[in-house]
Amino acid sequence: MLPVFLDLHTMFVADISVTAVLGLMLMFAWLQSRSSEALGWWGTAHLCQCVGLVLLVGADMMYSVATIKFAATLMLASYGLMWLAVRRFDGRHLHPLTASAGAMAWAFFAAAEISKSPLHYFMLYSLINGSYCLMIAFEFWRGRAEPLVSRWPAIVLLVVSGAGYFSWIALVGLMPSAYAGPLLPGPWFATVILVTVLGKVALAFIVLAMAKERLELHQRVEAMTDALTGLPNRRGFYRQAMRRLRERRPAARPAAVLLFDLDHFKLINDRFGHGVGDRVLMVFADILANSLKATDIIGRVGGEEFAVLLDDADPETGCAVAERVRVAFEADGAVIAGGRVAPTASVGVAAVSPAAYSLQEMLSFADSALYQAKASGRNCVRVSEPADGGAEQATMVVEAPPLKPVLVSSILPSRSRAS
Amino acid sequence: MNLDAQTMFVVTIAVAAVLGLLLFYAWYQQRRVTSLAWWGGAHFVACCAVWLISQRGELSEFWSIEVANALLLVAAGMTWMGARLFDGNRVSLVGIFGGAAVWLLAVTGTNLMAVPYGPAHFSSMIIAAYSFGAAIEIWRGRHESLVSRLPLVVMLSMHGALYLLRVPLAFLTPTAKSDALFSSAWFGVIALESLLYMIATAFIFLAMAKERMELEHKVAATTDPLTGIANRRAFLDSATRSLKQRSRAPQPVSALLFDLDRFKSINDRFGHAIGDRVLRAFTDIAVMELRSTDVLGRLGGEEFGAVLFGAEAGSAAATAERIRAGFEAIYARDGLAAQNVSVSVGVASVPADEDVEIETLMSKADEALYVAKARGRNRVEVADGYLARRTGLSGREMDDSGARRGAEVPTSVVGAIMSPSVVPQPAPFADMNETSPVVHRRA
Repeated sequence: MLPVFLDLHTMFVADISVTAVLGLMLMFAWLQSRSSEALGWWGTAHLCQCVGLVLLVGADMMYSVATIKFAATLMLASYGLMWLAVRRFDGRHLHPLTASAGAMAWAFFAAAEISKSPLHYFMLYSLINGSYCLMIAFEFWRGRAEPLVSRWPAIVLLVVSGAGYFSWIALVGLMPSAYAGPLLPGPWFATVILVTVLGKVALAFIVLAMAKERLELHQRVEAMTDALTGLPNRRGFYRQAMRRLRERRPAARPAAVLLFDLDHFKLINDRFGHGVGDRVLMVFADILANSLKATDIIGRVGGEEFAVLLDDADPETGCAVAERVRVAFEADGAVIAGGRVAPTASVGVAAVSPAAYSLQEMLSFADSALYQAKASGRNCVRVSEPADGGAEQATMVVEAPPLKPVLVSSILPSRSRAS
Repeated sequence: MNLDAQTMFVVTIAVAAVLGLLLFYAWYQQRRVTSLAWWGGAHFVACCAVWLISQRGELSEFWSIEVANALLLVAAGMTWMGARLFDGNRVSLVGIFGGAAVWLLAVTGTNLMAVPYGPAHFSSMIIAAYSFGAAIEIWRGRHESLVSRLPLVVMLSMHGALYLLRVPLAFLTPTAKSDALFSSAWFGVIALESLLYMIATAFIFLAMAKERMELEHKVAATTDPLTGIANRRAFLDSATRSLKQRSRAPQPVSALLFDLDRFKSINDRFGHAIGDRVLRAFTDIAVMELRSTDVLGRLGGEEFGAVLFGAEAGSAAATAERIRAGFEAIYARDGLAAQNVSVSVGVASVPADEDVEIETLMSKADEALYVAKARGRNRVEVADGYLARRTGLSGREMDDSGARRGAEVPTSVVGAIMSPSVVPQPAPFADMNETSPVVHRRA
């Protein structure tokens, strides 16, 4: 069982030291990774709060009402700083006026001595503090598009804290006798401090987690993005495509996989240099990104190979999209490097029911079709439609002209070279 | 410092429970980092221990002293185990419960209880040992560069040092009587330190676990999974960084651009597995021949780049030649029926007093590589920036006078790489005529 009586003095010592350690830890974390600026703001808020708490204890000992009012101003300002920290975290404009409004309203109320009752001050303080908690929660909620796992715990915690502050208002409003002390509330105030200490620790922990999660998310996205074109890379494409196929309903219509391969890309690189080669890739990536729906999944899955997953598309739709991209690339590519390059792309299309085939199988059907497109002179679209079990696929591959490795080696200049 | 013992107990118990929950939640999100669960568990066990200690007088001494202290030691053991697990070491139950068992044996089997502060000091020493042990574990894993490692080592060591200090300090300042244990100044220090230590370590544990996830993604984003060397992005980034540093300490710099010859046909003839092996073999040789300060990366399918600092054209070309010859040699030795496994290299250099961007350097190397390809592959060519600038010709337009270009190659290398008597016409699109579309279907 918890003891009923908690020593207020000890509780303040604990609160002050915990707040100071939290502030220092957050500042330290910020110094280690300067990009996490919000940590610095959040840490500063804690240090500001720490000074406020020290003044509060001192004021209570010296019986100085003015000092208590000033200490409370600092503590409210610290909540404004936390609000700024979250705004900064989600890249919003900092509104110093809104951030300091609470502290200023309090300071005005206190300086003008609008009320003599400590009860009123306590209620106003709780009101402002609770409002900031909800405002901070709102800011976190607004950034929810960024998938950070710790966002939701932070929101819940802040809403609970806000509700807690409002319930104090209700408590002392309904039972004024509960507010026993001349300056600070009665012994139960120690319990309030205990709860705020716990909230503070948990929130700082979650904020640190969020800042670290963002760095992690950034790296995860980098790892799945192709640096040159900005499209998902092979890993990114597979991950997204697998998830899409897993999530779609079983009864859905067939899905189409389009596999694009830029024709003679290696030769373009060799002849015109990598600058032009990169330019060709970027032009193609742009066309791909612009001529598809946002829900279609695109990726650069190899050096000059791009893949597209069209959800809910039959072979005709798949071919139409492929043809559109091919034609657009032929047109846009013609202007690269003064028209000397004239790059084209070959496309293999496979449209099957994803219930029957894995992504891997769909890609290999598209690969066979692409093979056909290359064999029939490139710069064209070929489709593969497996009848059942992909038997037709096997035929198509067999029908293709056999590889002629002899040809390759016979044309190599035979030369012996001293090293 | 006169702190109210019961209040400190309540605060510590509550904070430990909240941190335990938060660490468990973090573990739930990242199941792979099992250390988080151990550390969360340690906070819960410590929470129980402190509750038992706080119930002194209410509960029997067996619970409030023996069990409570044993649990504190188990918590320290769990923290140590989490540190071991974090760097992939095995769990050892002896390690976790050993400290508690030794302490219990000493308390019940010897007259340690009769010695003033005996049990407390013995347990302090065990806690110190666990803390130093955990610090050592974290320190040993420092090759994995996580920013929070060092702070954690410092934190754990300080915690250990404080508990070690407790022994001599108690004898130097024998003011506290055992019945006033909770009101002594030492109690205040320990109580506050425990509270803050718990918070600080929980924060660093969390930070370190998250940093590891970040690092894993970062490695994935910058490393070529097949060869393990830098990918294009990382290569360009790191070369750019190093070139920036070079402006402070001028030194010559060279770029090598490698392109495996007729790699497509290797893939087509022998399959991708063999192709991948060839790429890895090339990487091994390049890594062996380059210094640790050089930057190496896989730029594309069969294209590799290297930037050599402090190497002027001659030594860069010599390095390139060693790699070329080494690569040719392994497959000759291997007996793999791929006599065509070879590499062409383009080399570009700038002297110490000249600033250069990585793009410029690489495109000069690219021009030299082009010459190497045009001259029959499996050879090293050095770009001559000065010549190109003087004549106002770009490298490509100079190909017809390639023989002249060959003459610019430093003699030491020229001796090794004989120019062919007949310079083939630069006709890169010739490949299209050489092979049927089927063979080069991904051309």
